[in-house]
Amino acid sequence: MKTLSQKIRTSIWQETPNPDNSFYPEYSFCHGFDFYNELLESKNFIELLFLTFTGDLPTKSQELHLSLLLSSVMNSGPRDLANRAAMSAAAGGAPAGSALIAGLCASTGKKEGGGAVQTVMEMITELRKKHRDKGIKQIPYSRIEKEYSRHGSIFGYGTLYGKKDSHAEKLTSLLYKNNFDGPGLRLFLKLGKSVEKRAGEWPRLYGVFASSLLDLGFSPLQGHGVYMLANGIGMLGFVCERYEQHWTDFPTWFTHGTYEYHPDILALKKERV
Amino acid sequence: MDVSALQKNRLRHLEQQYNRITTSLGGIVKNTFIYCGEDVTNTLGGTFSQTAAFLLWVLGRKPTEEETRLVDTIICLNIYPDPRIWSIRSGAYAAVQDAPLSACIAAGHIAANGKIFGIGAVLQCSSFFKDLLARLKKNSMETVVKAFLMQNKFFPGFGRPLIQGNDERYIRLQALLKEWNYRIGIHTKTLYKLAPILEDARGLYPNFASLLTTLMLDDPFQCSDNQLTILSHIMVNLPSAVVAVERHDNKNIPFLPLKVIDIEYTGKPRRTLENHS
Repeated sequence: MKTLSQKIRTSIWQETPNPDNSFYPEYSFCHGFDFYNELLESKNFIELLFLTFTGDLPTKSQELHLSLLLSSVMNSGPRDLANRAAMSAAAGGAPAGSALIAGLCASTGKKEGGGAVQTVMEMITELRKKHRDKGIKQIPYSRIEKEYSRHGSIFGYGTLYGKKDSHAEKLTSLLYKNNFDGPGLRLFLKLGKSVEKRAGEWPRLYGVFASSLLDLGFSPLQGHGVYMLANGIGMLGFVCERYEQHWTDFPTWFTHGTYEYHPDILALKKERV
Repeated sequence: MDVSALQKNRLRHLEQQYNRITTSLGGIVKNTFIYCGEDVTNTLGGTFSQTAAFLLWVLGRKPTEEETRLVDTIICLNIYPDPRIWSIRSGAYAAVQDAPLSACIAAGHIAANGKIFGIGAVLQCSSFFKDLLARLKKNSMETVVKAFLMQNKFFPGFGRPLIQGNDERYIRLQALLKEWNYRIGIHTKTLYKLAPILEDARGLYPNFASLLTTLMLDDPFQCSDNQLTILSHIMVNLPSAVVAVERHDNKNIPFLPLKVIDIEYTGKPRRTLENHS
């Protein structure tokens, strides 16, 4: 059996112990920078977020790029499923922290959630690697469709309630306008042309977010969580708002005619057994 | 106050616990699996149910068949997987969002930490009945209730948010207790005494939360609030899990889709950055 470690290994954070109290951190360094004595007064949240995940401070352009991406997904609106999971918990009287976690549980999903962001980033990473290694010029559409689709739609593409996602288009145009178009985004949009021709679907906002986040050096796993964290801001707003209202101000669907019970589904299952 | 001594004391406490886990519950102890003092593999396996294991922890001894039957009944009376219930709905949304099933169930559990149909409701009942018993030491039930009514006090464990009238689960459990000749304790006796008074005064009927809470506060269980919380989690586990699975298996079917007009905006009027100072 491999030796069981007694230490937590990290490349992100280092503390130096106080000579009189070995629990007390005398200094704390984030990727080598003194966090409390240097970074805290000179760097903003976006810069520190970038530093945490990539190990380096961003250039001004990278900072603005990341800020734009995070802003684009920070509020999915009250109809979003994850936001509704959070609001539902809050309306039922759960504390704000619990309601936020309930929403984040949903926000990890593969339908427009962190899971979907991660898959897009994995797909583009693989495509880029193959393009580079094997010099592939044509995107192997049918293989992508086989490996990276959900209910017939390739991850990162689809429609917004049946229509072209104008939010994705807006983000794309802003990324181009500010010269934030990197190879990840360009490949994602190139694949998008094939998707549009073959499936009649277009890039979705989370897909643009995911492919562009790759251009900033974020990994798919980091992208998954960063999307959830950004999304969590709007979510927390909706959660806190619930406590200002009575629980009856949030739909319960207990009104007549909304609820249907079909025992025949279970009967069919039993029959099959 | 000697601040330096306090600091030293804190540090000594940290040093004492450094690299050490102390538990009275068990775990893997010298290759034997222990739970609350019992050998999991050789004693509990094959003879104990989950409810009995829960009660072993609560009581500190093996429960009787009657005790296990009561708690099993309490758990079963709460199994109705209605996706409209707030916590269950949170899990359902997560499932339709195609979150991993464990995350959906986690959403259901953490959302169950609510005041309506949830752990909060049970804990409010616990607090209410403990407070009521304390007051009854000095005053009669009539005097205490009269004071509560004058203050327009909320009565946890009475009334139901969405359905009017009696709580079927309460009635069934009460009938079963009678059928079993179950010896109710002081908390449940107090509930039985309070129920007709509130029905007369406010038209309020006791709900299932009040009966399950008082039974669990009574002897022999004397559940703490933390133990009541765990029981509540056991109670909500299956209903929220099966709903999450149903939605997960049918995640291509939209779940309660909303139109734009379903949102009533109550915020600031539209404005532009240009006009915003």
